[in-house]
Amino acid sequence: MTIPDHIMLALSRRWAGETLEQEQRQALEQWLALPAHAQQAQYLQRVWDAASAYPSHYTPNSQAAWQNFQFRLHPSDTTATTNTTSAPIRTLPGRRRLWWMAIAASLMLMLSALYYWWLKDNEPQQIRMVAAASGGSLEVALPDGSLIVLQNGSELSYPEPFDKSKVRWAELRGEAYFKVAHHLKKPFRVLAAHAYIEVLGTSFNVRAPEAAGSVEVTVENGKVKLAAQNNPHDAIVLQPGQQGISTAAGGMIQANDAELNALSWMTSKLSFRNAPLPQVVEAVSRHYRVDVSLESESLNQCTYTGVFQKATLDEVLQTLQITYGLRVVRSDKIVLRGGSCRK
Amino acid sequence: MPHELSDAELFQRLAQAGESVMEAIFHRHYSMVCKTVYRIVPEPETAEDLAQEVFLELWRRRESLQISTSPVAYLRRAAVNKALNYLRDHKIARADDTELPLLPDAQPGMQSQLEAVELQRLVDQYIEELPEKCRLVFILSRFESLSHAEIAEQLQISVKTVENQMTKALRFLRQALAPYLSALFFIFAHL
Repeated sequence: MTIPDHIMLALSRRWAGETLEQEQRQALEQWLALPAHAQQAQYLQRVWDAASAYPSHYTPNSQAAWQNFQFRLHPSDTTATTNTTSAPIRTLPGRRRLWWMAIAASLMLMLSALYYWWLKDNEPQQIRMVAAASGGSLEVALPDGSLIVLQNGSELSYPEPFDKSKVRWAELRGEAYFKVAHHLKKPFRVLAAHAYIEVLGTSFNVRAPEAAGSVEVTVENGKVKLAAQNNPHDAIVLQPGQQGISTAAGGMIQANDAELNALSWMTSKLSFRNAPLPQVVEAVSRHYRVDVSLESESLNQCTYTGVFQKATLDEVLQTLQITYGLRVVRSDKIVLRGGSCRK
Repeated sequence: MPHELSDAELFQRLAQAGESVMEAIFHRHYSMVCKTVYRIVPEPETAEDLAQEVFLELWRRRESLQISTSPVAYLRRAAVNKALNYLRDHKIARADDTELPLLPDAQPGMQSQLEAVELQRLVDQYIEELPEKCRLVFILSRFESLSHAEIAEQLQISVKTVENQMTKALRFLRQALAPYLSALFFIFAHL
């Protein structure tokens, strides 16, 4: 499959920070809505990102260049310095060259030592990919004892052999629940879209839908570090019950409390404590994969407390109907009409 | 001492304080200026010569300098202009190649077998293998954030051509790096 020219242009404009014309933006968003397209775009973005270090093999030397520059500032001044205070004393070219050769030689030595050290820890690895075909979730047991439950339609890639290198890592496309085995010396990293997640041993959920652009991490146990991949040192630390969102736009990350409903696809449990009604409706929509909306704005202020354990959609809607005295109108989507916050 | 000052402070002092301030500015930005020029004219010696001229002009103008953007943006823009002017003056000498190079056949199992250094070198190499116009359009958009209209004006070509060359460059790089996509992801995610 190939990306059409006008989409490629729109993508490159977006990445370059240019504003897109209305029409262009709409075309792009429409195109990206298809997961296979979003994946193509992601591949192209990897190429775009990989170019960022160009030219990596070229390392100009400012010390030598400054010497040269000073000669150009004082073209007539070819012998030793006379009056300037800041200019260093110039040695004869032959000796200077020797000096630079010595520096270059020791640099080369250092670099090759570094390279050797780097090689030692980076044996060639194969990448293994598993996918949960639509219709069910898939449990993946990794050799280190970690367990990953892939939501249907999601993909996980990880190196094989898995625990040979210093860090454990896996790349996720879609949504998964992670129960990571504790290894004090080997952090576990999850790469999902643009987000970077690092843990030692804990359980958490990662939701990274390709179209949405933001990655949600919900922590059940332990601590989880979340950052943008292009800035992994600037991380927030999430505690149990907390949720972190990493948005694609500025890589902005925020932590907020979550009801752990992000895990509902696995636990079949939705729980709310004084949760604003719009948030409840959103969680219900996501869990049952239907489009539910509130018609009356006055309901936005209502809060809901309660737990739905393995409930059907009808049961949930009925509960809301009784609690707020609203009507459930079904067409191609579900609209909650009327009602008020009284209980 | 000068190294602790901000760029803006350094540039403000350049007119009065003289060479020591110039030296601080030079060491701080020389590499950026060289690399900016190099992306447009990928010849190390030329890049360094032109970088010298960029700093020399800064020095000559130090007393009348009016910087409306940031000092870094000023130097970067000067570097881009210098490099583009160089290309304009040396146009005749350069081959007018428009054909994309042929890619080696991808071997199965090749992905993620490459070392990071090797892979980065490969990325560099493929960028430099792009035909000149194609490469320039990609560079100016990718690194200098010029709009397609600005690129068209700089290179004296039509916006349509800019767009064609841009998609050509992206397609080529995507295809050239296809065998390494997962390795690219892993390595560059951790830089």
